[in-house]
Amino acid sequence: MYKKMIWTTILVLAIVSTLVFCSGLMSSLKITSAANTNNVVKSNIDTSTQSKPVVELNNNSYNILVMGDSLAKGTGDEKGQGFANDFVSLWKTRANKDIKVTNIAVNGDTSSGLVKILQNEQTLKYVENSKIIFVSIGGNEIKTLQSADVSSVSTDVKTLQDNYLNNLKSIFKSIRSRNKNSIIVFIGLYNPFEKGTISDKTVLLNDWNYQTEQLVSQDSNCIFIPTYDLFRYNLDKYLSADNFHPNAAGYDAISKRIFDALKNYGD
Amino acid sequence: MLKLIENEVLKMLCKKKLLLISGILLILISLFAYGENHSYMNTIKRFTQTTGQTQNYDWKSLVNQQITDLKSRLNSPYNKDSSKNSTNIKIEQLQYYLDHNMNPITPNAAKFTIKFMQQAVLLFLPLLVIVLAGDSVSGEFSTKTIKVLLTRAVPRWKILLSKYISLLIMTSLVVLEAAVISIIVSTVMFHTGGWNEPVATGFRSVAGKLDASNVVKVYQWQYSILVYGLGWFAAITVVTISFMVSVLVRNTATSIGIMMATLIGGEFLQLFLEDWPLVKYFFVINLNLPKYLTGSFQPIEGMSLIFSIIVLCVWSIVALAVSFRVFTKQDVLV
Repeated sequence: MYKKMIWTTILVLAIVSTLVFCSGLMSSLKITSAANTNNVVKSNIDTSTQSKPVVELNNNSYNILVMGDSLAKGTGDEKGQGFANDFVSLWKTRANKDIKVTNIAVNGDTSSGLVKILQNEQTLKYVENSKIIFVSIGGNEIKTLQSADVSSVSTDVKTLQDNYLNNLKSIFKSIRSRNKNSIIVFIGLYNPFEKGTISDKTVLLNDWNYQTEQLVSQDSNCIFIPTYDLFRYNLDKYLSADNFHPNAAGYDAISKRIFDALKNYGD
Repeated sequence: MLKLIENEVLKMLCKKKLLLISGILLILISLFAYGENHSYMNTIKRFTQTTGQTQNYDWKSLVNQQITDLKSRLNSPYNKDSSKNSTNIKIEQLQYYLDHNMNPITPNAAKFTIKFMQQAVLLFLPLLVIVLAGDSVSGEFSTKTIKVLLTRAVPRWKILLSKYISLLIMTSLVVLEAAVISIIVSTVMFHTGGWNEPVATGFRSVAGKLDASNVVKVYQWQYSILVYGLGWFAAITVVTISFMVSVLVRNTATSIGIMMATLIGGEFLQLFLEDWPLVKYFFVINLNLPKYLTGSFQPIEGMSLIFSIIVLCVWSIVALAVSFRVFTKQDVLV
């Protein structure tokens, strides 16, 4: 009798669980092989990206625009701030209005990418209403030289640099075409690979920074903020875990330097 | 026929194997749950330390942090292409969870139960069911009871079929038991069920990119049924193949040993021969069915759930055919 009961429970349990598992198997087959049946989600996304209206920044707030590469974006900052937001917390006392930061930086962007972004009507609208414009670009271009060997570099670097400077020129032209009065703050490059760099490459980076500063200073309301010296002996303290981007302390140091430079800038 | 099956099931129960398996399951699942809880606490501790946030942390910022970590790992030059792809997919999945406000971090009973099966299906569950099936026929030879069994007035194929069906019954019970035990243990451990939380499934990885166009949201309890269904199917295949081995070999130890070597060797095979396309027709490679639901990266090109299930089916059918052919034809000299 006891054995009979065990047998029946086992049989019932086995049959029920088999049925449940089979249904699970069938539905997982259905889910993984569903051939684009629910395209609804996809098409929704498509329409939302297509008809994005051009947003105009509110003139009642103090607008700061950040554009360029991952450094501008704030990549590597554990607090997710980036130098722009760090700067804002310092600048707060200076601005009599609310400060609004618009960050349109793209991770891994190069100068030619930024030129394209500046052709966008939305970007130009942002430019128009911003009081301070931060630009950080070029790091991803010069990064490619790091791995190249010295002999081939000298020819490559010329074309790369000319291309970069031309792009920079047109970036400034685009900005000034919409906004004559705002101050442009250009963030110079530092060398994240300091320890493994031979002096030839250091010369290369210094030249890059120098050429950039020369070009930038042709604009009367633009300031070049060097970071090379800032990071030179502080790499261990200022770089994030990827050994390329600054960490929170690094961004903090950059923002402090910017603030020092602009301390007595009046508008 | 039913009588025969009943007889076989009772035989297995008498050997106290189910009890042994339950014991193993209980101990290991408790350990896993403890470890899971511990590592979760560690993650939170580390996170709150680095960000300086106190107690009430937000899972969203934690996910954000994980995404940033993965991205910076992606930038490292010492990275193989294949691992880059899988990192990419992981990032996109986390981003999907973030965008859709689903919490993938905090452990609860549902998540643990699912995760357990996802891990167990590779080696743990197959090993358990091998213990069940390993001596099904060979045990009769070892203990010389095969003579008694075969002198009954039933055709040989019926005897073998009853053995096979009783094995299927036991396998279903083991999978069910694994589910029940992990539900109980994890509910005790994490206090929260979370069975009605949504979970996204149907991700597909196409050429290293995540295709989220087919993603469906299901509840955790539905998802766990899906995962356990797949685990059950994998277990059935292993049982069938190990049943064949047990028919071919006349010694229980040998039969279990062969199956274990095959399973563990299969795992190695995946590591060493991932460039060799023929490897995907080996059944051990195809056992990890639940991973198709999460859309994780496929190490070998051209594998999908349907492909894997077909491969497993073919292996099962061949194994059954071989066992029946051999068992009905062979001479029994005991």
